[in-house]
Amino acid sequence: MKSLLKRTGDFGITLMGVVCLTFLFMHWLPGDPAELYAGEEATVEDLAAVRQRLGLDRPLPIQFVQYVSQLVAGDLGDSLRSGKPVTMEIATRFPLTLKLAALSTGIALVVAIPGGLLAAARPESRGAKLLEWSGLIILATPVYWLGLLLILAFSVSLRILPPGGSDSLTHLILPSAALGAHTGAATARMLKASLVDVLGRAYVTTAYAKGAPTWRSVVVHALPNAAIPVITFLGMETGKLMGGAILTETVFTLNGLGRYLVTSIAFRDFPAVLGVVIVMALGVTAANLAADALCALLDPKQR
Amino acid sequence: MQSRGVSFSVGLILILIFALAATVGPHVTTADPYAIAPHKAFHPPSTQHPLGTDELGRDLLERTLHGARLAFIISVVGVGLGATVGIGMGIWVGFSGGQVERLAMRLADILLAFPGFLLALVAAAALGPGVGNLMIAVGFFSFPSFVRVSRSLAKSLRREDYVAAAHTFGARTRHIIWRHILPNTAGPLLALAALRIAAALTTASGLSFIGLGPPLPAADWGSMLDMGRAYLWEHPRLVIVPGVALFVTSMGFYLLGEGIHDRTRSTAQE
Repeated sequence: MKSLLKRTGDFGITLMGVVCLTFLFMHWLPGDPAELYAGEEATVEDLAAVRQRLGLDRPLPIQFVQYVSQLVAGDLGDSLRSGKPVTMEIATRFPLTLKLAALSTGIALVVAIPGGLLAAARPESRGAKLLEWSGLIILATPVYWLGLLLILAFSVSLRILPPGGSDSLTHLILPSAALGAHTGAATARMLKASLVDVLGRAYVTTAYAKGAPTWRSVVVHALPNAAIPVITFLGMETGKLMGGAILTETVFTLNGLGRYLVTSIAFRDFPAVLGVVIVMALGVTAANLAADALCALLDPKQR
Repeated sequence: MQSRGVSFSVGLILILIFALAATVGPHVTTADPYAIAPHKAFHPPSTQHPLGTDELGRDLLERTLHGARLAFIISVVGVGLGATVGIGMGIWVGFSGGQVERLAMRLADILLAFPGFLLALVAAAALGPGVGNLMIAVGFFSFPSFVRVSRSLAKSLRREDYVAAAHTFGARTRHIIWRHILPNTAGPLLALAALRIAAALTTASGLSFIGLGPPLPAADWGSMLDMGRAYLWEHPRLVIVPGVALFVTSMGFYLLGEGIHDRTRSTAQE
């Protein structure tokens, strides 16, 4: 329990770091947002007025303190592009990204658990070798190219699945497969390594010696213990999943957080960029904490 | 094991092909990767254009070869930058310890906890488009892992007898780091560098895929994929060719990284 509290503190510090870093970076963004939003024919006075409205005329430290005090109250400021609160813009797009992430993780687990089990149970078999190489191939394939190839195969050639564009379940199959493949391959490798380690332990040998069938030794005795590092790993993978979601949503034209981030960068809408980055970092932090809590439940040594 | 040697050599061969394509490739063919010829748009592969032409009539093979050069500069030099800063910092703080070490590790942890692609994206957005800036963004997203690994290597080596012996003989810290610590950390750090380059290749091309890479009309694999996907239905070639180049290259660095990793581990066990 104590370690979990310490981890929460660590994550709090990390989040503060993320806010500082992104805030600084956003102010280095090339191009003056005021010029962009005042229009082509803006006079010097117009520009000054826009800067004042956006709060850009104040010194950077004051802007930062203002931003953080708003942030603590749950306010991410207004989008420069739409004028609406960033929290609202994010709230309308968040469910789609969450759905995409959940579906991808589901697909990843469906592939990774049997794959990892098989590879660990018979590490020298041809099937295990084949799995290992296909895992490597998937890991080396960029997620957005995989997405394009899936569109090419299932939408252009076979014409059985839509190439994204909406958030209905059939529209999410290809994007989640593209996004989940990477996590699935990485998790299978992790699970295999973890299982091989656990299978060598005394209590598994004891189970064998007592005459338990192989599958029982693996599934009942080894799997729960091997799962602990894998759950921690899955928590860390959410960071990659967020990065992948940015690209996947762009490929499949899904209106989630990732695509919102990309268009906001193009429009120099820095309150929106800052807001999305903070929400994504918060999501990754929450997933890591949840994974830690789950591990603490599974592992009697951590209680 | 046999397969371990295989991944190392296959990786090395793929990287050699990539290096050749990046250095010699653009000189072998005579086509100009930027010469626009609208009347030749979407020509299928022919003897004049072995891989055909793109939407503006530019030679696809020539553009892919130039893309290899850009990818090489951005990922290898970018990771090299990150590695130099990261290893320097990691060994220094691991060796000196104390408050400096705690502060540096906290900083590295903050950067590592931040999703890598998001970190590179924010850095690339702030720096603006351009090859040099993309390189810095790649370096920025790779350096924390080098700090972490080289620090733990330095810490464990510091306790070795030969380092203690060098100390007793009055060797200076700088001498110990250069002559004893660095050579002994080469294996794990090279493995890390290869894996980081593989990640950098997909990250950098991903950034230019969403418009944060070298400005158009640069023959960059990421922006070629972005342009080509508009013609995915009629001319999938425009998406397949740069994608295969990208995949083969990043696969090469992955395999090399795995291979070095396995080799150093097996010598450590002996």
